[in-house]
Amino acid sequence: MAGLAGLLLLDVLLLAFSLMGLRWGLATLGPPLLAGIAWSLLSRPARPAVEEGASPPAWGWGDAVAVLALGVFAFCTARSWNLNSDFIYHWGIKGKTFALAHGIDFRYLTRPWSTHLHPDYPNLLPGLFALTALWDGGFREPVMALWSVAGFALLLLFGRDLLRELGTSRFARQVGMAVLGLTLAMFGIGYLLAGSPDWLIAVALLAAAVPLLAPSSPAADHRLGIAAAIGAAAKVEGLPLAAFLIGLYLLRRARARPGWRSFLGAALRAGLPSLAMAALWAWPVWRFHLFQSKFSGDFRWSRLEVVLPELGRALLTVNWHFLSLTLLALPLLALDRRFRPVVLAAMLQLGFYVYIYLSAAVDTRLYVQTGAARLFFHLVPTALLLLVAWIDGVPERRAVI
Amino acid sequence: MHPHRPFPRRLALLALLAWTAFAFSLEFHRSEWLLRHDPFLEERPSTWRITSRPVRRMERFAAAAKSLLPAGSRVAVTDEPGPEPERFFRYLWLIYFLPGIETRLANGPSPDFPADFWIAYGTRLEDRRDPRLAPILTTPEGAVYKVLR
Repeated sequence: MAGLAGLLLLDVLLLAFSLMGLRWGLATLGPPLLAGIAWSLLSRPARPAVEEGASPPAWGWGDAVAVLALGVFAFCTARSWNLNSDFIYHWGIKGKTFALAHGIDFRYLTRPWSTHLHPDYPNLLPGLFALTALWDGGFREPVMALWSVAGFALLLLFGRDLLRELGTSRFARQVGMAVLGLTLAMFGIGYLLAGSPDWLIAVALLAAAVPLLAPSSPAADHRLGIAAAIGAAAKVEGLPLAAFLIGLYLLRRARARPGWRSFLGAALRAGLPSLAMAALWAWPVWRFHLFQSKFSGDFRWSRLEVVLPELGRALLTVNWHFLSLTLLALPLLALDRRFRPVVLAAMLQLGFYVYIYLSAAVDTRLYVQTGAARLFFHLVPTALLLLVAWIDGVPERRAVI
Repeated sequence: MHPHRPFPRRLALLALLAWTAFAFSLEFHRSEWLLRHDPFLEERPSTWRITSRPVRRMERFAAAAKSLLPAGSRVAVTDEPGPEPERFFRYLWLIYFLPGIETRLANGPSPDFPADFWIAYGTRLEDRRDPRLAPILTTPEGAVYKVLR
């Protein structure tokens, strides 16, 4: 989590420098980055969100399979087999341009013919690409796509945490880790997800799952806050995810521990990071008139007759090999009180995607066809692990929402 | 076997694992096949991958063109005729290799188009016989023209 918090602070720093007209470089970014790293190393490690004294589970064959899958994904990524097409059309060209400009080039984003670049999207990933290019001395696609390998690794770590938090059997934990690793590699290679920001949204949901299920504590507040903020900083669709995660977390907390003073503290810890990321996104969008209205048209139920069949086809996308059908099990999983907050967050996010498909003033069919299978990737890793725990039949430990 | 986990539950988990492993190996094999056979057609830029031959050719052309385009210059891009979505995807690929250059997609030379240079990819502008355009780079992939003022 400290690494994710550092990523958020770096995003703030990059944006602040760009807005102040300071060039990204060793001389300008070096001192604050070194200070941040030193502070992180010297400061007391945060208390874990799980019970005191709980030791991490021993490694097993499932962990080994997951790491092997990570290795295969990294190999494919290093050879550019699976570079995301949006990396070319959107994220990568932004990163290249920002690297050349030594900062976020708002003039470039504001050009009327740059609308295909989604100028109103958060700039965390292009910023990381640009910084990596400046550090590496050039823009090399395989190096940029290593950020996706990092996302894969984070998903494995948070997946392991979730299975432990759910109290699954050792066998189910190993199956869960192996299934998670193989699924991430399968879809990440087949659907070309190297260099895509979608890893960060998937990380946000999975990282938030443990604090959503664990007993509330200041450490859990912080963890939820950072996880939600990563979603908010990654992509526009991460902003509603952050709101859902924070809302569900605070709702659950308010029911478990009444008292407005402690609630206020939890709300600040859980909500402030996302609020900060949302404000940092909204400010340049407003200032430079970057918002694109084509994705926010009139809501029409009539679009359902196009959206539903296309969503069905997207669920059956060949690269998912039916594993995306796990999302259909979400209502069933929601019946289990142990999983409910996480399942509700996933369902709300899915509902948000459907809402956008019913609202966007673009070719609805094409919009669903080109995006839905990828959007499922945000939710499937978490849903798969919950399904594994459900099949395993974990004992009920605590009541939630 | 774990004493508290009924056999059907273990079987279900093993079935899920077996299916995932099969799907993973299938995707890996398919990806390796695509890389080896490179079946992505020149006329379908929407399907290109960065390892595709048309992309490698375009990258070489863009590197040569970029060295002739001063920073901040306005460049109009026109490409080979074809279906509109594919033309646009070809343009997106090309501008990926031209970072820092202000490019715009155009159908063809027009006196009103604000451009200092023209790039014609997969086509030529010579047959338009526009005296204001002077070719400064000509390759089998495309050409770069300077707008004479």
